[in-house]
Amino acid sequence: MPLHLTNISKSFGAVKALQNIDFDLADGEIHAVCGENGAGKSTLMNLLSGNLQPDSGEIQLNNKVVQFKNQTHATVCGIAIVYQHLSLFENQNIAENIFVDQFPTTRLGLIDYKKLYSETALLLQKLNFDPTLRPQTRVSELSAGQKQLVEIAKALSKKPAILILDEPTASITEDDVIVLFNIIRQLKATGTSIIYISHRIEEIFTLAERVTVLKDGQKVGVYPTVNLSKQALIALMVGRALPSTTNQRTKTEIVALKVERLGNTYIKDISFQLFRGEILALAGLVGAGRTEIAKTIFGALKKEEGEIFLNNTAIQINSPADAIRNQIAYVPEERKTLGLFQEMSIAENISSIFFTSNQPFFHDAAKTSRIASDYRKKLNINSASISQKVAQLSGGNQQKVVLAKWLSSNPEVLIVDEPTHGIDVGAKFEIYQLLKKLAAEGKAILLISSELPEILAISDRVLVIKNGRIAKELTTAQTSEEEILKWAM
Amino acid sequence: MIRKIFSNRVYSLGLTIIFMGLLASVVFPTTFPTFQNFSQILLNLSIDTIVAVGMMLLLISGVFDLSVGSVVAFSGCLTAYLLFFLHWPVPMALIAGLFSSAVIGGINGYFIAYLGINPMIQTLAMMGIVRGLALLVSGAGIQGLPYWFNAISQSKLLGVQMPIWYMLCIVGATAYLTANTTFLKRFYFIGGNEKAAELSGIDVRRMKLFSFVFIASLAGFAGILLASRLGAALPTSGRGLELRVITAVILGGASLQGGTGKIQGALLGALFMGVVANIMVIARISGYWQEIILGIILILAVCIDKALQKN
Repeated sequence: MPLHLTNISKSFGAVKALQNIDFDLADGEIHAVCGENGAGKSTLMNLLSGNLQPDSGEIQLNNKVVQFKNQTHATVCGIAIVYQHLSLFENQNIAENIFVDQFPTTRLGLIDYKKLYSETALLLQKLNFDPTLRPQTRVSELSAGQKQLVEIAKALSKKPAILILDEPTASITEDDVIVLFNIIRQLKATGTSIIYISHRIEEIFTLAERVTVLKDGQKVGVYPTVNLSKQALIALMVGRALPSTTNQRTKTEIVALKVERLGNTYIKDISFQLFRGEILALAGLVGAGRTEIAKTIFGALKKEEGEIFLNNTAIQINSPADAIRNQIAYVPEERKTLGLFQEMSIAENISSIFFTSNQPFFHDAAKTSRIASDYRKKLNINSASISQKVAQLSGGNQQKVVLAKWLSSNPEVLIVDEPTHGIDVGAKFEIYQLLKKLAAEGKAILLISSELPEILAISDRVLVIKNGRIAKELTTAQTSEEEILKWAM
Repeated sequence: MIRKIFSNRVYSLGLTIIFMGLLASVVFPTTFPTFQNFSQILLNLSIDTIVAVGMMLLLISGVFDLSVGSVVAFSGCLTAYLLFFLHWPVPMALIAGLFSSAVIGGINGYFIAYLGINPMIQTLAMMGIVRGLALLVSGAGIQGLPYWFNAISQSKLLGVQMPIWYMLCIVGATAYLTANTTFLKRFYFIGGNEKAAELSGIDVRRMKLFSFVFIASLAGFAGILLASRLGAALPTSGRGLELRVITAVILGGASLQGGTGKIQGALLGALFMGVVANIMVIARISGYWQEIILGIILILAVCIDKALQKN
């Protein structure tokens, strides 16, 4: 069933996630979609699967205009999606997961278990599923690769004409990847069209006939894979526009933070030095272990190996409180779930840093509200007053509140995790300026970002993280997005 | 301005109580507005309110404790047992009663904060265990307690019964400390966003452990007061107290999601329920209706809250 998208646009507030996207998919084609983190791939897939509705533009399926009301509607029309994050019910068995929204029933309206299990067995057979596992097996007992296959079986149970696979190999082993690829090719042979999203460039070349490249919510182009090289594809993905900042390096030779052979379940053998006045960036794909490095330094994740030195003295950090006492601050990613007290005011949010056990017994409300008003002015937090609830602020202003909170603890080492995620261009620019100013004041800054242009614009050095290890250290002035991506992928 | 008063539960509830009191004074001028009646209302709600202070702190941090009613019974029974059968001196027996209550809270807190047991399940189980312990210790109940023990609740200061003074002191001190100390104010952050509180350097687990020890100690104290007031310890006392206290605290401005509520609200919530019950007794309305009306009031209060939040 051919699919055509014309002029699709979608915005979230001030953020333009997709602008005037054209896309087409032929019968029995494997069409890859790629782009950096935040290029708009997920938004595009959500539009196709009915989870989001476009602001403008047209979706044509089988040469008829369609408007998907929700995911069920898209499924009825023949589009099924397999998500990047597994969305199975661990407490249910394979069959129940696959038929969750379409249980076969007996004449009395009860669940027809016989039919449920026989149909599931048939589907699993089609996918060459490990024969020792039965439809009655609990999903919690499966490996990540097997779970991914169950997800695909679930999508196939709806007999789709178009199957969307969002990073299907992100969490599975090499062996499972081979199994998965065979299945994908088999599906293609039976006439199913496939949209394949992946960060792994090799996979795109192995599987897809054409690839559509997205950048900053815009379409760069669509290219046949036969006459495209890996380098050429990376070059197409990079080079996003960004507000420019003045480039003044303030890095000193004084080591502020040094970590040696840091390791735990998520990261291995992490050693680096962070200098005063420096912005050191951790680059890498989502899930590479960047946040885990930060959280381990901050004491929010258990450190199993290695040592942390602050100003050349070894320090023991077993909890965030220890880190704060040592003047290390961590501005977490996902400000809504990890950073903010949504129902509380700006002043209360900023003051929340003054409740560790080494604070004086009585809370000095006058002092903290003075600090809050200072930062409201200094960081230009756009709000009615410091007693306004943070839930009412825009994303950029919320981020400034979280930054203000951590700056008021007067840190020497500031770790910022995706500080500009989901905020508009103006606020981004202000945050870049702020980080550079802090570095100029002698603070040591560890920046985690998925936006390569951001890393290139404000950092001094880059550590590329891959699979929980440092893959490469690069000097920002002498590197490029291509080089960083090459090490990250 | 009016909006502000209505969205602050301490003000809106306070005004409602005053309004109800004035209305009752007009309708029942000889029976309602008397010193005798007022002190009776306060005396009746003093036990509940002391426990409600702890419950408010728990609900601010987003959890609750169902075992408090049983702890009230247990601490009274244990103290009475030590006094009556083992002839312990009064201060020693009091300390033992309070300490064992704190230990029960410590067990609750440890299982909830450090082992991750759901608070409702943990305290529900403890509710049964502790009620059983109270029965084991006291059998059908212990009567004939020493004079000095009974004096704890039965004496008066400035013409007002002692339990009322204890209640006012506990409410006043906890309200002041919760609003002004870095230690107790942490509960608002824990209730607002537990993960963010943890990342802000607050030892969330230790605070949770503390809060369960705190409420159990208050319940232990309330149990001693109750036994002393009756001159007897009954293993059945405090039945249903936990739900009454949670009702009072929710009326007083707490929410099950945590993050909101003031300690004063616990007193006002209990006072509101006490005044409603008192008016109904004076008006000779059947006791059955009290429960029905209180239930309706609770639903109404929560609905009004929801409506105010939407605007």
